Amino acid sequence: MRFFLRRIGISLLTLFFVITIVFFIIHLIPGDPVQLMLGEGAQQGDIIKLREELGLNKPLTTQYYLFIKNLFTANLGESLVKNRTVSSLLLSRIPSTFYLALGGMLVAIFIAFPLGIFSSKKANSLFDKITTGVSVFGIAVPNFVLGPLLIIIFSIYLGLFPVSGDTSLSHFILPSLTLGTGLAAILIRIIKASLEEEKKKNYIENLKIIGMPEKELWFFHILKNAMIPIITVLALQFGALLTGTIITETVFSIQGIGTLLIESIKARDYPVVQGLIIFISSVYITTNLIADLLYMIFDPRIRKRGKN
Amino acid sequence: MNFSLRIGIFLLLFIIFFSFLGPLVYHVDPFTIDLSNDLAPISKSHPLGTDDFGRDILARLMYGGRVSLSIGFIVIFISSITGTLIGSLSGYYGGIIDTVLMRIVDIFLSFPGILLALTLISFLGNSIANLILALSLMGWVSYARLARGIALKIKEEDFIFAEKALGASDFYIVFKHILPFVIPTIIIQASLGISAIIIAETGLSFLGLGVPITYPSWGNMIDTGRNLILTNPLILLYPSLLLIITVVGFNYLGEGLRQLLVNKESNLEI
Repeated sequence: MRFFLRRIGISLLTLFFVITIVFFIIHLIPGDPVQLMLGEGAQQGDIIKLREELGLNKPLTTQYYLFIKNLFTANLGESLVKNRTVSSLLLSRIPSTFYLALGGMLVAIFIAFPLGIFSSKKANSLFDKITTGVSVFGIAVPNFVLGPLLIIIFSIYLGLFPVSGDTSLSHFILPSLTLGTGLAAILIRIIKASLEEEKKKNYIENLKIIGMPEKELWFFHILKNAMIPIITVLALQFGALLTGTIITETVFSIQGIGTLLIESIKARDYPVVQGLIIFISSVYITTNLIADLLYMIFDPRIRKRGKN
Repeated sequence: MNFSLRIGIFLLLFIIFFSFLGPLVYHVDPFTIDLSNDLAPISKSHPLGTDDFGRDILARLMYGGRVSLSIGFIVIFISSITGTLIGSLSGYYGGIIDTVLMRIVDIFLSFPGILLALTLISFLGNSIANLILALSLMGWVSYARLARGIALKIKEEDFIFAEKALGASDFYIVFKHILPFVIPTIIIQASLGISAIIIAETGLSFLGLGVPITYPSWGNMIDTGRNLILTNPLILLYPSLLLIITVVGFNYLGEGLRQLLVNKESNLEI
């Protein structure tokens, strides 16, 4: 239990650091953000007015205090460009990103588990070699290359799916494939490595000697025990998937958090950028935390080690 | 020379010859805009055609390769040296310095690298210098962690105690005894890490937040190609193919080096 609390404490501390760093990067960068936002030919009166609106005329420590206080009420400020609060913008974009991430995860699971398990059962066969090749390719091809390639093949030549947009289920098929393939490639490696490790253990030899059927051996022993590291990696990779959505959303023009972030960066909409970065890193840190906690629950050895 | 190393070297030599020696043979300027000749098909004067501004695609691919490879090498150089020094010193000295530095490393690791790069670039503006800074900041932690792990182990060896007893300075021990053990592992990590850097750089350029659009770069060209995908899909394919060759090349090189060095020195970690 102490170990659990310690791990949660570390996550909270990290989150606090991230928030602080983001705040200070914005407020300490050379150049006046207000000037940057309003452009070269801004009127002096407008500059002063905007600075007051943003609270930038207050001392830095007060601004920091207010910023943290507002975070507790999910008040992330207001967009400079869109006349909406950052939280409402963020909320409106969450569904698309969520569906995309979920789709990517499902694609990865459905590709990686059959390939990984089968190629581990038939190690060194042609199938195993092809799987390894596919996995090398999957890691080497970035989302912004794979996405357009899938568009050329499936949308332009075969006409099966729409080129871009996010209004129906069929819009999400190519983006999910794009996002999921890289993860699948990583997952195949982990699944294979994890199964190899488990296969070598003494108890498996014992079970073989006492004549346990192969199916039972695989499903109830090897796979079951090998799942611990696999689930952890899957949870850890969910965070990486989230940053992968930034590029995938741009490729397919999906109106999600990623495209909102890129739009806001280009429009110098600092409050939105700040809010999104804090949001994305919170999700990332939380999934990492969950991954670690899952690992501790599944593997009691870690808990014991933590006590020493 | 193992199989992976050979494939890696072969692919990378191709890319290096293409990007750095190509322009010596092929004298077309990648910057010349010729709007009357935009999206020209493959021809004698433009072997791979022209883009939406009538600029020669082959010349831009060569120039883009130089930009991507140069940024990759500079970033890997900065981040691996910084990481190695910080990690070795942290592991060697231990104590409070080590605790503080490793907390910083943990924070960096619990924050998605690409988001860190995006944050910095969005607030500093996009230029090649800022891109290099952002990517280096993203990369140094993994080297620091590796170097620290090895330094922690080596500093407990008997010969280090002997050196100390003979009155060797910390500086001498770190540079003469710790670093030689750290460097081979770092080289493997760096050759594997460079493809991640190149993917991050082209990815940021694709988003319009990496290499400024005034320079040709593979990422910018993929972005252009994405917008012209319905009419001229080939424009997208050329830079994509070169990028894949580069990334696969570095992955094989790293894997090959790993096999080579791990066989040679049994005390290597990876």
